[in-house]
Amino acid sequence: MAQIKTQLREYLLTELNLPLQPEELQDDTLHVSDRIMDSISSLMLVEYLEKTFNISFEPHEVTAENLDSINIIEAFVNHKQVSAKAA
Amino acid sequence: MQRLHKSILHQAATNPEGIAIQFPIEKRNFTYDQLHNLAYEISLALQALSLPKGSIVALYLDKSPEAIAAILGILMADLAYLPLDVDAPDSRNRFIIEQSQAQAIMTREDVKNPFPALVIPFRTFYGLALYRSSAEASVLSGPEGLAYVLYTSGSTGLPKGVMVTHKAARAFVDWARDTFVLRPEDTLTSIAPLHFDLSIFDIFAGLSAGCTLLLLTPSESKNPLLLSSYIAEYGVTTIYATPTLLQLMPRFGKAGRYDHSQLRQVLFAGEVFPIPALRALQEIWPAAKFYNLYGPTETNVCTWHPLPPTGTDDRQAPYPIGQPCPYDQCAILQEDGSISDKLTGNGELLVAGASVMAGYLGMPEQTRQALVAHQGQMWYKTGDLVEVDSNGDLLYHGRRGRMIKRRGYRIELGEIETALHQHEAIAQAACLALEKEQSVSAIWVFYVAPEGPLPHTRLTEFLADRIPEYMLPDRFVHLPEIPQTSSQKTDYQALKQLL
Repeated sequence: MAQIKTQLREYLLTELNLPLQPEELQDDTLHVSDRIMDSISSLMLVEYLEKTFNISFEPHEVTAENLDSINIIEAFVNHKQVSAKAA
Repeated sequence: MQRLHKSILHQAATNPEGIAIQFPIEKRNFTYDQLHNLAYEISLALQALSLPKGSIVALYLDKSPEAIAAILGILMADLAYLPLDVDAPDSRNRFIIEQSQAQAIMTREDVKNPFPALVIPFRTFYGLALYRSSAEASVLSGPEGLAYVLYTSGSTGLPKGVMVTHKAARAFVDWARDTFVLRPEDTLTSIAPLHFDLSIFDIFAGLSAGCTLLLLTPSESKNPLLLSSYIAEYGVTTIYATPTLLQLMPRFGKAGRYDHSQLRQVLFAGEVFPIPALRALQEIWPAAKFYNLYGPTETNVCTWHPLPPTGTDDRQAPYPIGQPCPYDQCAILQEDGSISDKLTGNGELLVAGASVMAGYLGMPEQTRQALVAHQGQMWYKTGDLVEVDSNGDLLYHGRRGRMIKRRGYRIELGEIETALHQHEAIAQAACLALEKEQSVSAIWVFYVAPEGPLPHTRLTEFLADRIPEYMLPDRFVHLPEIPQTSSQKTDYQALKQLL
């Protein structure tokens, strides 16, 4: 669990280069709602999540509701991994 | 006078059960009959306001089937529509409402109307609310047969209302419908917001041909994966969009997962399509025909260029904007101030003809500056620099307004951008000149490279092969995306804030 969050933080800060200091990026910081992350970065984040966690987004899942914070993304990734196993 | 919406009414009469609008976000659709009935009801409500012919009715509505019906209803009532950008700051919209002297506004019943000039409730229907102005009738005089007013950003910072008549809009719409052979079997995307002139093609060329319009909201339009799935699900045959959106499709659209075999044509406009990004798009849609359309809001589309069939040429520079559309003429304002009617040489593109605007609403001075008389016609000065190539096609070379001088040399920033667009790792680039006391102290480049930042030295080396040394930029800034105006063009004002 904690590992997903660590990886995500690293990706958001160093790869996507979100304009935040590391200490400003909390698990509940809202990247999309607070306009920290733009639309192209959201798409790159989806691409990263798919590759790293071996999940696949459905078209309607590429939304702020699933990408807005580290907590939300972690929950979404877990949900996708569980449903993939169940399938 | 043939009015802009007449052929749409004809479609409603002959094909009432045809699907006029698909609205995936709410999983509902409108038949031509439903669209016509609601438009008719709106037109009756507007007529009850007894506004003078050609009065302006503002629309403060998200994209929806009802918003399209409102547009038709306004036109049916012999009024003109003014679509506001609902995502723009209220202050900007208030300026537009006041400057345009709009006499009525349609908004959503459940939204607070933020416009003090238009507060008298008149009636509500189907979730829409109609308010009218408390002021006397507008004193601004519009042209005969005004159909719509679209506000574009002005170089002075104040938006200008481009007035387009039924006749001018029809020149483009009728040509586009015939040229792109739109038929009732076609499904067109409606990606552009209603305040962006690309929407004129979607709404009027599409619906007048009896096509189905796939109405996308702004958030859907930013999701290439969703667009990709819709193309398959709704059998989209025709897409009209900016290169900015289209170039996201190859990387993020997972096209291989969806059946895009019905897509027969892709029209793009609004900006230069960098060649590497265009090639990537052609690779995922190898059977589609591609067209480059060009034209400022003031002229609508005035030149066009059909691209050669995919895979039949190896052009490295962006494609031409091509030839004038048959309803317009082009001329070139040469360096020495003379106007060349023959398309040769280079200079600023002038456009005259049926599609040219009637002027800027309530801004006679700006209108005079924008339109020049020559040989009995009014020519719109596009501010765009063009060159005629050996095939007689017009090549776009950037904006006149972005010409700078450095070390005595004249430099078009667009030229540097054009060179950057040839770099295969660069998806988008925009140039700014940092000026100090009217002299340029540095040229900055902002660029988007999906694979990450590129070393300064390599970029300079790349450019040095393409542009003179005096044009080489001083700074390169990698950005995740280039800020855009609400009409999806590079927002140079926002970039300036980054300097």
